[in-house]
Amino acid sequence: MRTTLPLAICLVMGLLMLVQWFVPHPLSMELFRRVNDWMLTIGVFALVLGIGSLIMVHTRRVRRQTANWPYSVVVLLGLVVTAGVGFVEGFAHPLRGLETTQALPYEEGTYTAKAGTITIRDAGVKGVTLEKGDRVRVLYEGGGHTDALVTTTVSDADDGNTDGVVTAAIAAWRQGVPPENGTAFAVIHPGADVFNWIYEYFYVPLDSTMFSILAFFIASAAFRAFRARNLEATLLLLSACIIILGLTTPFIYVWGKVLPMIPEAPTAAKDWILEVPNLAMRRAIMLGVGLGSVAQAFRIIFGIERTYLGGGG
Amino acid sequence: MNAIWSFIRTDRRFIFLVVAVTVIVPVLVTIPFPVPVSNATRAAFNTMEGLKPGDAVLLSFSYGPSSMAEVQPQVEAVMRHAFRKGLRVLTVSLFPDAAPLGSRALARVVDSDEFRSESGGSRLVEGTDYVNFGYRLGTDTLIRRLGQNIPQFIETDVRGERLDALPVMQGIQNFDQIALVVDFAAGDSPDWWVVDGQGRYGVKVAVGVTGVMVSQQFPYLNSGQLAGLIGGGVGAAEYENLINAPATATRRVATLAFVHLLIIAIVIFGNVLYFREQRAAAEGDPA
Repeated sequence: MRTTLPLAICLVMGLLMLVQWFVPHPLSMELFRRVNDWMLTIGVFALVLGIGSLIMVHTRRVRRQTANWPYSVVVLLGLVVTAGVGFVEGFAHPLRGLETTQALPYEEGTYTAKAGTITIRDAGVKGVTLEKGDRVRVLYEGGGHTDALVTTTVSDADDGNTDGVVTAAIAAWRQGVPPENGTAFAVIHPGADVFNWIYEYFYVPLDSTMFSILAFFIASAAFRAFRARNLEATLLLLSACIIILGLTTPFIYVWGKVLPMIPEAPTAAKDWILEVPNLAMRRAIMLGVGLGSVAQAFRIIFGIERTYLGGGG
Repeated sequence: MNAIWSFIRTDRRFIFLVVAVTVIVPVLVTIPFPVPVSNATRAAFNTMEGLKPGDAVLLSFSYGPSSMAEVQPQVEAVMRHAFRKGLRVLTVSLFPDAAPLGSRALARVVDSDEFRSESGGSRLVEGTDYVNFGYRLGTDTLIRRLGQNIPQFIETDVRGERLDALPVMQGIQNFDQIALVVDFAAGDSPDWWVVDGQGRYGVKVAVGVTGVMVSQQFPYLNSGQLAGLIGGGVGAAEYENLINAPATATRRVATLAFVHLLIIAIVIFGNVLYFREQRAAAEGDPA
């Protein structure tokens, strides 16, 4: 039963998904939509498995103090700090780290809200600048609120005086346009965003650096390994050189000056290699992989291939 | 002489030093180079150029900081072209680490002098001219779901605004109303867009990819499944020149050119050494 039920589910779902591709009926489309939603849900479990595996592997290394174990401490710290900051900010400031000012008390004519603007008249906004990305929030007397994003930075001083009257352009009101006059309002400023700070100042430089140093290793490898040892290696080497030169503008420029009768030759040679031999080879590989995938899919659907069930079938 | 050759052969730091100098000098000294345009990049440009004002273009971000040096200038050039043509720009990130980079490109282009209004702010308004969906989970599954119903599946933009309330989304239900998808990729996402976006839903797809991925995309370009291909930093520079907005990639062309020439010189030098050693070995002289 432990094997039969999964095989039966695989057979039914495999055939259903195969048939639905050719049947654009609303029922078939609805099935497709639901299956894709299930896939998204199931995909989240892979994240849990991945994080669980990462923690177990590196915790074991730290506990046993194997070679380079301090790096595992860095991995675990990075995971805990980054995820922790993300969770805390997410829960504390669901609107990406926004901080709310104290709601200014209601007074007649405190603001005038329209579909695309809000005019605020209050001593609380004297000399104040509303930054693009801030929110203005209108609080209803009976509870609840609606808010809108400020789309352009605007200052109380823009009209030449700091009289506490600011008109800000806003995006659509999220819960509909509020009453034109009345109730209280607040201005919400984006707060510190530590999560993005970690991304900007840790992840981006580290990831970029790791990839950038490849240039040095590629140059070193080209010097050591790119040798015309036999016919195949020589063909590979010549093709690579033609493509590199076809992308090198000073070479193309000099070529055009030296051989003006065939100025496009380096670019044309590069394009020919990419569009003819490269294309033919890539297409052959892709067709082979495609046919292999179809065969493997049928093997799985019909239960011939069972290794995915575990235990080696 | 033999000692020098032996040192160069055994100490990699010499190569590293030469590469570092070749990368740094063109950055410090601006050297303008003409940029010939490849057929693949011109196809991407022509496809975008053929769209009408008001058409919707979906920019998909599937790269990260490691490949941003190549891909980010492509994103900014294509985005600038789209805004110039009055297209509605929709952006989505298929990878979590792509979302901040996409937002950064969007902010740089939207707030650039070219789109500044008389009042000093940008004349491009979020929600009216463009919308950012942010990162969305699902990779290829996400593409299939977007193909069925975008506002129903995405619901809100990155700011939390409901899509059905945004002017930029008016009339857009699925890929039938998307005139072009441009995927900026450093991984498998062009395959997903070709198979699921173009193959299943028939949306027109172009891609901007890293240099090493260019050769993999030619079968799709040749068959018409891709409407254009921007390859690496050179492709970005080509696109910048096609839209007459030279920027980051154009400035890096000199660096790329010198490093390319250096690699050729290194390969030639390595082979000279190799044949010299072979000849010495054949003559019984351990050079």
